[in-house]
Amino acid sequence: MKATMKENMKSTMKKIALISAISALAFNAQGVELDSDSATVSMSVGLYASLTGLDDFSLTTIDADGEAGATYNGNDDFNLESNGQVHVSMVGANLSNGGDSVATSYSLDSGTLEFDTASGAVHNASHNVSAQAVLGAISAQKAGAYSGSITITVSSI
Amino acid sequence: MSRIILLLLTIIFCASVHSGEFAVAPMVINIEGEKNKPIPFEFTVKAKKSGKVVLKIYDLNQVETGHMGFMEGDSSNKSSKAHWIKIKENKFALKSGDYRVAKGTIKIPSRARGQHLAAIMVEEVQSEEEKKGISVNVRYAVVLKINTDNGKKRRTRTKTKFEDLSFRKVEEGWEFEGYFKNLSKVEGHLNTELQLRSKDRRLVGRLQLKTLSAWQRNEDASMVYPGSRVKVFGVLPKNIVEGTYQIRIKNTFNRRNQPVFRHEITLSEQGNTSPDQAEVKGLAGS
Repeated sequence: MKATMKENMKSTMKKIALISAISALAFNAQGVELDSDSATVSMSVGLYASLTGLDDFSLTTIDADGEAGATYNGNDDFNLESNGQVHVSMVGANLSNGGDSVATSYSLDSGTLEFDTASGAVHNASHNVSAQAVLGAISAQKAGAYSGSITITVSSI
Repeated sequence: MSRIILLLLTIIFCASVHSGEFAVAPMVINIEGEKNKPIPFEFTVKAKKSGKVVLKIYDLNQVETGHMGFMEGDSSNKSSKAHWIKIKENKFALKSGDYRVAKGTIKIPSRARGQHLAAIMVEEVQSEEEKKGISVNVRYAVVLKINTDNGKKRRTRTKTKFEDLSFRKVEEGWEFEGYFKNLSKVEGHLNTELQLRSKDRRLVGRLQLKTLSAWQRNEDASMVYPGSRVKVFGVLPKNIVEGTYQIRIKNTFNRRNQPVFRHEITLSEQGNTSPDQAEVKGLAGS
């Protein structure tokens, strides 16, 4: 009887050991699945633009100051940085002292009032804005300080 | 005396120029959502130099060159996008290095259809002192692309028109130009191909017509926004014998073939309708 009980015990122990081994494998298997999973990470970068470095500039002339037809010129450089294509345009008004005005023209880079940066590319380059004013007859405009404004617009389209 | 006066006449154009130095991102925001409900949007303004910033709502319209024109919105005008958009804080001061997240909402009217454009103009507030001399105002247009379909894929009817074809002799060859109208409620890419065939239907020349904006941006196609009328043009760089030809203009808009424009023309340096230009008013469609 004792021998039978011992055999039963052995058999039971074997079964327990077998079940434990199988369970351990199952856990490990599940643990392997949890340890190696994948996820998709995405990021979207928005279009960014910055225009810097536009400073004071004055118009000066190599003609006689105040002479009829005297041409005044001035320009300044600026830097444009963007991570995609942008459009830059400029508008400007004639220089004026409130009563009199002087015909004034403006341009970006080489004679245009607008430009686009390269398509599908980042941009970080220097550009130029220039202004030119031409006096009329001597008595067409009073002496004094004249003012004008330039508006430069940076846009994606 | 006159010489003294002349010498005394000095006009100095002094410039005390201060421009806003800041960066803006993103420059384009796509808006989609339910109608009659506020849809939030935001963008970041970062100051590289201290200053005050003002935000204004602008309407956009596409000019014939293909570029966009900006007009300050009028909230009292129901057709203006200023009627749709509210900005939480439209004026703020920034110190150098600081940034601010500008926030706003759009409420799409229930009757709105198709795609719409608006812009939030970000510009520096110029002080009175700075207005002397040449004042440089730098502004950034944050474009809002508004889709009123709320993500639903609807088959949108495409309606377009090609008209007013004209041509003239230029140094490089023959320049052709015409006008394309987008009468649809959606924006799209336009591909315009012009074919020149002799009387015996032999292909003499083929060229692509694009807007000035597309040529400048070196793009394959011209972007045309809803309700716009743009000029497309191109030069056929060939020495074509003067004579009578068949013109065929094929427009593809948003990958859909549009009615073909066909007409017979006579290329002649001397015998054009006008000294420099001949205009062809053909029928769009055949």
